[in-house]
Amino acid sequence: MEKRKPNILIIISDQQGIDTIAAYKDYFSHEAWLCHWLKTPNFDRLAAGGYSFLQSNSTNPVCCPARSTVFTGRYSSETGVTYNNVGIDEKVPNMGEWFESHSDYTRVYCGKWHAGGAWNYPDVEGSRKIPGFETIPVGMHGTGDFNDFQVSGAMKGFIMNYKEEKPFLAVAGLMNPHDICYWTPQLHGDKLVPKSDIFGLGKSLPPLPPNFNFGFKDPYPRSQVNFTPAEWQNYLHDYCRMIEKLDADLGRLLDAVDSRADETLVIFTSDHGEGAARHKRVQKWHPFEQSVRVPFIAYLPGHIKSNVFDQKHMVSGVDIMTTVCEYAGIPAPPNCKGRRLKNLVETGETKETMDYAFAEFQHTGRVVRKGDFKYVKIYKYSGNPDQPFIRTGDGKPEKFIPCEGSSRYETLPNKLLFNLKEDPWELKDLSEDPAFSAKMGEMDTLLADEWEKKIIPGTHFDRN
Amino acid sequence: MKNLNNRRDFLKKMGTIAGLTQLPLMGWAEGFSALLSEGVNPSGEFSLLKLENLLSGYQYPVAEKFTTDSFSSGYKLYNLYGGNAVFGGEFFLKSEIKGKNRLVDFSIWRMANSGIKKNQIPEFKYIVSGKVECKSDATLTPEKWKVCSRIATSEDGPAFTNTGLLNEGAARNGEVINKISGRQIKKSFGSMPLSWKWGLVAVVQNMSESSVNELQFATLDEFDAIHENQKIRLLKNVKIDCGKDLLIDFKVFELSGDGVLPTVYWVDNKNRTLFVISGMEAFVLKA
Repeated sequence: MEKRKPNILIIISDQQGIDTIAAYKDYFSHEAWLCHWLKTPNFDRLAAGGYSFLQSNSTNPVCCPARSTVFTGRYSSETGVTYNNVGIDEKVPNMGEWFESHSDYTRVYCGKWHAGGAWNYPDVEGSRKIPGFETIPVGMHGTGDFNDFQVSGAMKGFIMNYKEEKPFLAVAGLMNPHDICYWTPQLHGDKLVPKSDIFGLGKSLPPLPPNFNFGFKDPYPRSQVNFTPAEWQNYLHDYCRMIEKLDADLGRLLDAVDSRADETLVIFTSDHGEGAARHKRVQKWHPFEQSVRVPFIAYLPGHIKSNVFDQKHMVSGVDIMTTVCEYAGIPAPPNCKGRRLKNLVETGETKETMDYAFAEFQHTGRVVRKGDFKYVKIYKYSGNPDQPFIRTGDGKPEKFIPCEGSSRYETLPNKLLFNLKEDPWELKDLSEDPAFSAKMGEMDTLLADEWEKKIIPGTHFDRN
Repeated sequence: MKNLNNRRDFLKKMGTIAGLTQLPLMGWAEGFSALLSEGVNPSGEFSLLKLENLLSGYQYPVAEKFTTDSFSSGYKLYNLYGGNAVFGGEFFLKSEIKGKNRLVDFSIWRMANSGIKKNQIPEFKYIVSGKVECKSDATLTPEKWKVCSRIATSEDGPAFTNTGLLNEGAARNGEVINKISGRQIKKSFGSMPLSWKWGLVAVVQNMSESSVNELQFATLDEFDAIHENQKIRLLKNVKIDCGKDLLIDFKVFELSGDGVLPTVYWVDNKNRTLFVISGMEAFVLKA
């Protein structure tokens, strides 16, 4: 008799940079990394029992595009979700649909989906139901403060109560630490960010990062904010507490998983990171490490190696679909771009090519990570407005309006190069240095051959 | 514990909040404006700014002074979203003496579809309720509890798809032991005094009544997570003149520590916690 496949639990947080896990202190030793300013016993427990990828990237550091990749195994240029609130190409199956047609897994989604289109606000039934999944109706959007304990509580209930013979594929979409978005002046930061240390937090206020001030010309200053240092410190403090709240929610889910007699593969990641005052930035959208680099942990005690902190292999959200299919014993959907990670996380060996990773940002931005280097290239944006999207207010489709017009990327420079080993805070752009012209060429070739030529462009699709 | 099966009666009883009546507009808005115009804005008032849209119409609940051991209170929950306080649920707490201990009933429900248009999804709620046996001490040390949680469309409705949980737990010897669905989950909280998240509105009332200015403890969060290094301290005393002979002395307390955003409690001179404001969430005592 064939052995029962493991249950699969995917936990995805929102806006969590990689340095927010206390167990990673040895690998992020500078005191300004946030792992020195928070306590994450449950992330630490997950990391101790599992396999952490420290070179893990968001494939497109903003919610919908990144999530469309996680749940399809295709880059956002292929899902058609190159920006928030456009739907996944109907030709690209999501994880729930693929498991529905290729496995006997029970499929349940709880919490934030936001992988594009009308399903951003999923219904339990009807056209807004997330295709392929049964939806547990809590926490689809809103705030982590208000919703996350509902999501972790409901999913804990589901996991602990589940008694069917067939395995489950469950997703818990947690909002935090995305709440930090509302700490920005554009939203209502004036009501949420104290201008001084009014709460007497003193030494628990994190310091400003070394790249708070930086010298290179910034091609995309969108998410820069002019907080005072005191406001930034309060901002960082509250971001750390949001991570700790998220940690409690993670703990609930791990308690449920660990209490089961059968096996459950847990994959934890985040859709994108957070500016965290680096380069004076909030939020995401941009190609810098605080925006692109996210946690990625695989956990299956007895199978997946424990306490591994892999600094060598490059991974991203695109690798999740292929990997969960591998664990479920089913083929990955056609044209998936992800690597299969099962062998690597179980044995430490892999035949997959894992020495580079790609990301996109803001329609025409590209990021290549290889070795110690990060290469950023920004193509000129056509300003094509013919992309439908769904207004969140009334749910009706409208024309997509680029938020900063068609000239957004006409400001040069349009290329950046960083040596992340020597310059982890991305202070020195090497793209104009003749000594690195060969490296620039190598990265350009890699981008063209391994990414641009292999992409099958997708189109937006919305089932409203 | 049998009352857990009769939640509707419990909520109905709690909803009336014995002893509380309501006065017509008590000039709270004017008092609040005056407070700000006086430039008294170093700390606690920062938290009230988040409730600005709410306070203009707030009706000050009038009641006899709460005693520290026996009281009942009901709160409206607000999601501080988009710069405004938006209603999102309710919280009820009832404390009574049981021998040397206190027995606390609590119930909290939140809209499960926050952020979703109402007509797009049935009105699901995430409901947590239970009974907690506590010591009559400063932190209301929880000793035993029985807590239900589930998603449902009504207080009496069935749990949605496997989401219901019954958690029977106890804390002793630095350890929390929960029994859920026949499985036991243990967590350690060390040597710190223990409190519990939903009981903190009563803890600050205790502090106010007994003039305690600072407490340090660990908190039981949702009865299954522990946050250590919690500190509640008196931030300041504030007097608000709301007109019509209504002069309210507030003690403003602040909670900080692991896993919590700075949380401000406003306790009035009737020993009632009127406002709890934390991050993007606020609890406001019902009139």
